[in-house]
Amino acid sequence: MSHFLDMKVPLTNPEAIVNGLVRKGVPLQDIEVHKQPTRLIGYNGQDRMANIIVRKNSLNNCSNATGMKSGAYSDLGFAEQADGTYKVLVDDINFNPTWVEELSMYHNVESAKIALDNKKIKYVESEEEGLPVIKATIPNRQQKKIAPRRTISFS
Amino acid sequence: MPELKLTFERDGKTVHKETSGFTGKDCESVTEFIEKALKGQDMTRKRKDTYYIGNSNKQRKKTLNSDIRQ
Repeated sequence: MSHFLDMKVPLTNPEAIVNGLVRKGVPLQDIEVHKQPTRLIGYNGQDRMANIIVRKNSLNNCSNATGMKSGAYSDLGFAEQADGTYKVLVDDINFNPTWVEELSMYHNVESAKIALDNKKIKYVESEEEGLPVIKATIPNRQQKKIAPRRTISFS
Repeated sequence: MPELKLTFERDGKTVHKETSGFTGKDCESVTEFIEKALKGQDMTRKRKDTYYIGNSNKQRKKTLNSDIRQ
Protein backbone atom coordinates (compact mmCIF):
# COMPACT_ATOMS: atom_id res chain seq x y z
CA MET A 1 0.00 0.00 0.00
CA SER A 2 1.35 3.37 -0.91
CA HIS A 3 0.50 7.03 -0.97
CA PHE A 4 1.58 10.52 -2.00
CA LEU A 5 1.66 13.48 0.38
CA ASP A 6 2.36 17.15 -0.30
CA MET A 7 3.16 19.43 2.63
CA LYS A 8 4.40 22.93 3.41
CA VAL A 9 7.42 23.03 5.69
CA PRO A 10 8.35 26.02 7.89
CA LEU A 11 11.87 26.80 9.18
CA THR A 12 11.95 25.03 12.53
CA ASN A 13 15.24 23.19 12.95
CA PRO A 14 18.24 25.38 13.94
CA GLU A 15 20.75 22.59 13.11
CA ALA A 16 19.20 22.26 9.65
CA ILE A 17 19.32 26.05 9.15
CA VAL A 18 23.06 26.02 9.93
CA ASN A 19 23.63 23.01 7.61
CA GLY A 20 21.57 24.78 4.93
CA LEU A 21 23.72 27.93 5.24
CA VAL A 22 26.86 25.81 4.86
CA ARG A 23 25.40 24.12 1.77
CA LYS A 24 24.74 27.59 0.34
CA GLY A 25 28.42 28.43 0.77
CA VAL A 26 28.55 30.27 4.11
CA PRO A 27 31.59 29.05 6.11
CA LEU A 28 30.56 27.24 9.31
CA GLN A 29 32.87 29.42 11.43
CA ASP A 30 30.96 32.53 10.24
CA ILE A 31 27.62 31.31 11.57
CA GLU A 32 26.73 32.42 15.11
CA VAL A 33 24.21 30.30 17.02
CA HIS A 34 22.77 31.82 20.21
CA LYS A 35 20.34 30.28 22.70
CA GLN A 36 19.32 33.78 23.78
CA PRO A 37 18.33 36.22 21.00
CA THR A 38 21.32 38.41 20.17
CA ARG A 39 21.53 41.80 18.48
CA LEU A 40 22.09 41.98 14.77
CA ILE A 41 22.62 45.15 12.77
CA GLY A 42 20.01 45.80 10.12
CA TYR A 43 19.95 48.37 7.33
CA ASN A 44 20.93 51.89 8.43
CA GLY A 45 21.99 50.68 11.88
CA GLN A 46 18.54 49.42 12.91
CA ASP A 47 18.97 46.57 15.35
CA ARG A 48 16.99 43.37 15.66
CA MET A 49 17.32 40.24 17.78
CA ALA A 50 18.06 36.82 16.31
CA ASN A 51 19.26 33.36 17.37
CA ILE A 52 21.27 32.48 14.26
CA ILE A 53 23.33 35.29 12.73
CA VAL A 54 25.67 35.72 9.78
CA ARG A 55 27.43 39.09 10.07
CA LYS A 56 27.56 41.61 7.25
CA ASN A 57 31.35 41.21 6.86
CA SER A 58 31.01 37.43 6.51
CA LEU A 59 28.29 37.87 3.90
CA ASN A 60 30.61 40.15 1.95
CA ASN A 61 33.38 37.57 2.14
CA CYS A 62 31.10 34.92 0.66
CA SER A 63 29.18 37.15 -1.78
CA ASN A 64 29.53 34.48 -4.47
CA ALA A 65 27.57 32.15 -2.23
CA THR A 66 24.87 34.68 -1.40
CA GLY A 67 24.53 35.94 -4.96
CA MET A 68 24.81 39.63 -3.95
CA LYS A 69 26.11 41.90 -6.68
CA SER A 70 27.44 44.54 -4.27
CA GLY A 71 28.24 44.57 -0.57
CA ALA A 72 25.77 43.59 2.15
CA TYR A 73 24.05 46.43 4.03
CA SER A 74 22.96 44.30 6.97
CA ASP A 75 23.54 41.12 8.95
CA LEU A 76 21.41 38.09 8.13
CA GLY A 77 19.48 36.57 11.02
CA PHE A 78 17.01 33.87 11.98
CA ALA A 79 14.82 34.69 14.96
CA GLU A 80 12.94 32.00 16.86
CA GLN A 81 9.23 32.79 17.20
CA ALA A 82 6.81 31.77 19.97
CA ASP A 83 5.46 28.90 17.82
CA GLY A 84 8.94 27.39 17.36
CA THR A 85 9.39 28.55 13.77
CA TYR A 86 12.27 30.78 12.65
CA LYS A 87 11.72 34.13 10.92
CA VAL A 88 14.33 35.27 8.40
CA LEU A 89 15.60 38.79 9.13
CA VAL A 90 17.20 40.39 6.13
CA ASP A 91 17.06 44.16 5.70
CA ASP A 92 19.01 44.27 2.53
CA ILE A 93 17.97 45.45 -0.91
CA ASN A 94 20.94 43.59 -2.37
CA PHE A 95 19.76 40.28 -1.05
CA ASN A 96 18.44 37.83 -3.61
CA PRO A 97 15.03 36.48 -2.44
CA THR A 98 15.53 33.20 -4.31
CA TRP A 99 18.65 32.68 -2.19
CA VAL A 100 16.47 32.57 0.95
CA GLU A 101 14.05 30.17 -0.79
CA GLU A 102 16.91 27.84 -1.72
CA LEU A 103 18.27 28.08 1.79
CA SER A 104 14.81 27.04 3.09
CA MET A 105 14.83 24.14 0.61
CA TYR A 106 18.18 22.95 1.99
CA HIS A 107 16.83 23.40 5.54
CA ASN A 108 14.05 20.98 4.60
CA VAL A 109 16.53 18.50 3.10
CA GLU A 110 18.75 18.68 6.19
CA SER A 111 15.76 18.37 8.57
CA ALA A 112 14.69 15.19 6.78
CA LYS A 113 18.22 13.80 6.95
CA ILE A 114 18.41 14.52 10.69
CA ALA A 115 15.04 12.75 11.20
CA LEU A 116 16.20 9.71 9.19
CA ASP A 117 19.54 9.62 11.05
CA ASN A 118 17.66 9.69 14.37
CA LYS A 119 15.64 6.65 13.25
CA LYS A 120 18.84 5.00 11.92
CA ILE A 121 17.25 4.65 8.50
CA LYS A 122 19.60 4.44 5.52
CA TYR A 123 19.04 6.91 2.71
CA VAL A 124 20.60 8.26 -0.46
CA GLU A 125 20.43 11.91 -1.49
CA SER A 126 20.43 12.69 -5.19
CA GLU A 127 18.98 15.15 -7.69
CA GLU A 128 16.06 14.67 -10.06
CA GLU A 129 15.22 17.39 -12.58
CA GLY A 130 17.36 19.83 -10.61
CA LEU A 131 15.57 19.18 -7.32
CA PRO A 132 17.06 17.45 -4.27
CA VAL A 133 15.60 14.00 -3.65
CA ILE A 134 16.03 11.64 -0.71
CA LYS A 135 15.28 7.94 -1.09
CA ALA A 136 15.15 5.82 2.03
CA THR A 137 14.52 2.14 2.58
CA ILE A 138 12.16 1.72 5.50
CA PRO A 139 12.06 -1.45 7.56
CA ASN A 140 8.45 -2.64 7.55
CA ARG A 141 7.58 -3.33 11.19
CA GLN A 142 4.49 -5.31 10.28
CA GLN A 143 6.26 -7.56 7.87
CA LYS A 144 5.18 -11.05 8.78
CA LYS A 145 7.89 -13.51 9.68
CA ILE A 146 7.67 -16.62 7.56
CA ALA A 147 7.73 -19.76 9.69
CA PRO A 148 10.45 -22.25 8.73
CA ARG A 149 9.13 -25.00 6.55
CA ARG A 150 8.73 -28.33 8.32
CA THR A 151 9.99 -31.46 6.71
CA ILE A 152 7.78 -34.40 7.25
CA SER A 153 9.31 -37.76 6.65
CA PHE A 154 7.24 -40.83 6.00
CA SER A 155 8.53 -44.15 7.14
CA MET B 1 11.43 -3.39 0.17
CA PRO B 2 9.30 -0.46 1.44
CA GLU B 3 10.61 2.86 0.19
CA LEU B 4 10.17 6.50 1.08
CA LYS B 5 10.95 9.20 -1.47
CA LEU B 6 11.09 12.90 -0.60
CA THR B 7 11.34 15.60 -3.25
CA PHE B 8 12.12 19.16 -2.18
CA GLU B 9 10.75 22.06 -4.23
CA ARG B 10 12.87 25.12 -4.92
CA ASP B 11 10.22 27.42 -3.34
CA GLY B 12 11.68 26.33 0.02
CA LYS B 13 8.28 25.34 1.37
CA THR B 14 6.88 22.38 -0.53
CA VAL B 15 7.98 18.81 0.12
CA HIS B 16 6.50 15.83 -1.74
CA LYS B 17 6.48 12.49 0.02
CA GLU B 18 5.91 9.23 -1.84
CA THR B 19 5.83 5.77 -0.32
CA SER B 20 5.83 2.42 -2.08
CA GLY B 21 6.12 -1.29 -1.32
CA PHE B 22 4.48 -1.23 2.13
CA THR B 23 2.10 -3.81 3.48
CA GLY B 24 -1.05 -3.02 5.44
CA LYS B 25 -1.50 0.55 6.59
CA ASP B 26 2.21 0.87 7.37
CA CYS B 27 2.87 3.32 4.56
CA GLU B 28 1.17 6.07 6.55
CA SER B 29 2.03 5.14 10.13
CA VAL B 30 5.68 4.12 9.58
CA THR B 31 6.57 7.26 7.63
CA GLU B 32 4.52 9.69 9.76
CA PHE B 33 7.69 10.62 11.69
CA ILE B 34 8.97 12.57 8.69
CA GLU B 35 5.84 14.77 8.62
CA LYS B 36 6.25 15.38 12.35
CA ALA B 37 10.00 16.09 12.06
CA LEU B 38 9.45 18.58 9.26
CA LYS B 39 6.38 19.99 11.06
CA GLY B 40 4.45 19.66 7.82
CA GLN B 41 1.45 21.92 7.29
CA ASP B 42 -1.39 22.10 4.72
CA MET B 43 -0.96 18.42 3.95
CA THR B 44 -2.67 16.87 0.96
CA ARG B 45 -2.67 13.08 0.87
CA LYS B 46 -3.41 10.97 -2.17
CA ARG B 47 -3.49 7.21 -1.84
CA LYS B 48 -2.22 5.14 -4.73
CA ASP B 49 -4.48 2.48 -6.25
CA THR B 50 -2.40 -0.21 -4.53
CA TYR B 51 -3.34 1.30 -1.13
CA TYR B 52 -6.87 -0.05 -1.45
CA ILE B 53 -6.04 -3.58 -2.57
CA GLY B 54 -5.60 -4.98 0.96
CA ASN B 55 -8.40 -2.87 2.39
CA SER B 56 -10.89 -4.01 -0.19
CA ASN B 57 -10.15 -7.65 0.62
CA LYS B 58 -10.69 -7.01 4.34
CA GLN B 59 -13.83 -5.05 3.54
CA ARG B 60 -14.98 -7.95 1.40
CA LYS B 61 -14.38 -10.41 4.28
CA LYS B 62 -16.29 -8.14 6.70
CA THR B 63 -19.19 -7.95 4.31
CA LEU B 64 -19.15 -11.72 3.86
CA ASN B 65 -19.11 -12.31 7.64
CA SER B 66 -21.97 -9.92 8.23
CA ASP B 67 -23.87 -11.64 5.42
CA ILE B 68 -23.29 -15.01 7.11
CA ARG B 69 -24.51 -13.68 10.50
CA GLN B 70 -27.75 -12.45 8.95
